Amino acid sequence: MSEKNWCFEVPGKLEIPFKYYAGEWGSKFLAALRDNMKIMGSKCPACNKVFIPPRSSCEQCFGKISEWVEIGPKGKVTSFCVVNYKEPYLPVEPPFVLALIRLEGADSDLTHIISEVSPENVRIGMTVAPVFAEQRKASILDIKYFKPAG
Amino acid sequence: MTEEKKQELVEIQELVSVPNSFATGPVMGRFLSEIRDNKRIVANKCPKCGRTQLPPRIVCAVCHVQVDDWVELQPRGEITSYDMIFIPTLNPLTGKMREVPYTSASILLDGGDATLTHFLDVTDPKKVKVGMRCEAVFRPDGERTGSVMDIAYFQVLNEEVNK
Amino acid sequence: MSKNRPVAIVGIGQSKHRGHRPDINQVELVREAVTDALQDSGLSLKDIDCIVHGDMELFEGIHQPDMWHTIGDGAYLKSGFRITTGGTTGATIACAADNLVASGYYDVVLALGFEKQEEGHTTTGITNMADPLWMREIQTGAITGSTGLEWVNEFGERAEWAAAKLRVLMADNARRNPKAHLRVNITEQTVMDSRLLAYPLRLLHMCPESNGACAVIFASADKAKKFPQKKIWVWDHITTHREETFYRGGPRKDPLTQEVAARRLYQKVGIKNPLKEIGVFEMYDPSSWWQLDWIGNFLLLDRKTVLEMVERNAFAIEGEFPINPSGGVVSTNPIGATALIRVAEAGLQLRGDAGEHQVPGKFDVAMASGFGGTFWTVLMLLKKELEAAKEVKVAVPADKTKPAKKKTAPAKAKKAVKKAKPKKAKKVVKKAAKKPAKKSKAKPRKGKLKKKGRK
Repeated sequence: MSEKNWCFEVPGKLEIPFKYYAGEWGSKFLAALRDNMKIMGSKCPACNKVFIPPRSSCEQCFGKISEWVEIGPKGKVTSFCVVNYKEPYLPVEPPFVLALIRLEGADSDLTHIISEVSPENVRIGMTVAPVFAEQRKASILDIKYFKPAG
Repeated sequence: MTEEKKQELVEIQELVSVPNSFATGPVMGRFLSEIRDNKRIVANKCPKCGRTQLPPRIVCAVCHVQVDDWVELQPRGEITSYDMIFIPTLNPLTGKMREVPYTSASILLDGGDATLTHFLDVTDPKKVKVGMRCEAVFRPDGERTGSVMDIAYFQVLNEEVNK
Repeated sequence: MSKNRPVAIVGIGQSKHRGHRPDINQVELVREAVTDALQDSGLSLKDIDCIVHGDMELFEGIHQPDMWHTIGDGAYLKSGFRITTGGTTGATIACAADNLVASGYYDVVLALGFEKQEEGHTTTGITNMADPLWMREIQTGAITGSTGLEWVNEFGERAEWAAAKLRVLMADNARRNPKAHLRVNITEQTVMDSRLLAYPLRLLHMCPESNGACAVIFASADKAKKFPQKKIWVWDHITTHREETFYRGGPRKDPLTQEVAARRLYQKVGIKNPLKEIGVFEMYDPSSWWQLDWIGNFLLLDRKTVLEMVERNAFAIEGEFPINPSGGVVSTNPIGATALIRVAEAGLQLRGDAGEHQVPGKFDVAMASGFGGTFWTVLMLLKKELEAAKEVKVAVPADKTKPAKKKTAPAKAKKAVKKAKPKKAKKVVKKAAKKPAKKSKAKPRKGKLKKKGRK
């Protein structure tokens, strides 16, 4: 091979439209956010655990689940990180706090954004409550974010 | 706080659009540069079995030995197979539907035994046959960027070659 | 090379494959298949040690779905592997599960393949497998008529009617399979009149996009002894790659990937006459043209013979050599699961549990194949009865173009037979053979009246 450097880069892209079906259970959860501003979970009778997002079967005992339970609306922060970089797919402008929130009554965490507080003041164990969006369209962002709730 | 089962089934639509940057590497880089700068089509030639290889690769796909020799192939050749596509499909490189009909073909280039896949300028099934010859039509100077699409298409020639 | 220990298939499950499933998400889809497999095997999740999970994630646009699916496929707190190898995904996960159990690392492995195809764009996804600097601009996924063109150039319209006849056979078989997706009643004329995609490939020749999942449970012989379901055994499998032959036609000097895989595997296990020694073949047929083309590659027959066999319906369920009694890929195609469904259906046939689409008669060997976009083939052989692990001497021919004439040596080494419970299996199969599906094959004949000059 000659010494000349033949390498170069070719710009391109990958663009494909997708459509995801939430399924019956997922749809019910999203509809509850949109129509009633309620956060729902589901309860496994054998394990006595409440899961969010609600699901029709339990991962631990593999049994079927049929019970819907309203959870929250308040919860405690179990973990968080502060996002400082900008990417086109992020939901809000940085810096923002992304947190795992254990809602009251639930046994699994919900991932969401925490706002109305500066990132340095967010603490693990802090109580937060949801703020719903004005325009809701059956999406997880029908909850705009969580804010400190004392 | 009603518990009635909802029949509504939510469909969430999302366009995934990710910018890419593809590194050519030295082998493909040379092939593409020759097309862009000199309007030449080059391929590797295996020192062991003598196959000319397209797309050009750093090893021979059959012998698995490193291939350092390059040969120039003619920008014309024989159509060995073709596909006339009548159904529009989405092109992931642009996110847009391809216009139909279009014809893609495998062209056995003169000077070797490698085939290049490209578009033909004919979309009438009666006007194309395996065995016909065609010639590359390059984009003009200044419009070539180092891509297989620097060849705009292959023009089917009226002469026929008997197989 | 030989296995450390024999591997049995002890459970087979599939979801009902459909074109539109807005009522479930991916997790619920895989759960259907896993539940079906557990029910079939009589096992519970605690018996499973490891889950091998596979699909082509670009089709749904959700990456690493195996992580999400732990909430529905029983993988919670178990070992797991993720495999994604294009169209061969399903077969490769079967091979991986077989390897994992044979190795001794795991005793019971669940292979799970799925695809929720409607959520993305199949052809665009497949196009994206092409090299972006070479063919991605031009490539149209699996929609190609180049193979059909070769046949039409050689045999004229006779080839088109043969491809149509194969498609009708697959439709007839699919109507006998309650799990199949497309269960249509068509004639050869319907196929010939359907929309042209890429000459001579038509809409009805092409496989559909299905949502579905399939799960198969593999177990070591010792464990399998205690499990209630009938056992069948994985004899051997092979994977071959032939990407350099993917030049879409032209003078074929090198045999295609299917032929290479078949020759190597037959030599490895000692099969000399596949038509006689294999009872049923579940073949991966993305289109009826490819089915027509590859039958000869797998069974080592020339094109003229294949054409004649198609014309006398030799590949029907009650024919000389049944192919795809389940209806094949042209009837059901959730890509990540499809190749595994081939293994699952081949297994059901050996067990005698295929119901209405059961191949009648006694046979001991079934074959399943998978195919992937850049021309690779996975071929797997299943056996009804277990023999002692053979001392297989693998002598892969160096020159791939020569027919493998040196098959005689390895085949003789298998006389030490340890029959581990063959009797029970035999009885069950005999019963199953007594209920032949009597659906008449008269329907395709109607098409013949309209044909011109067919021999």
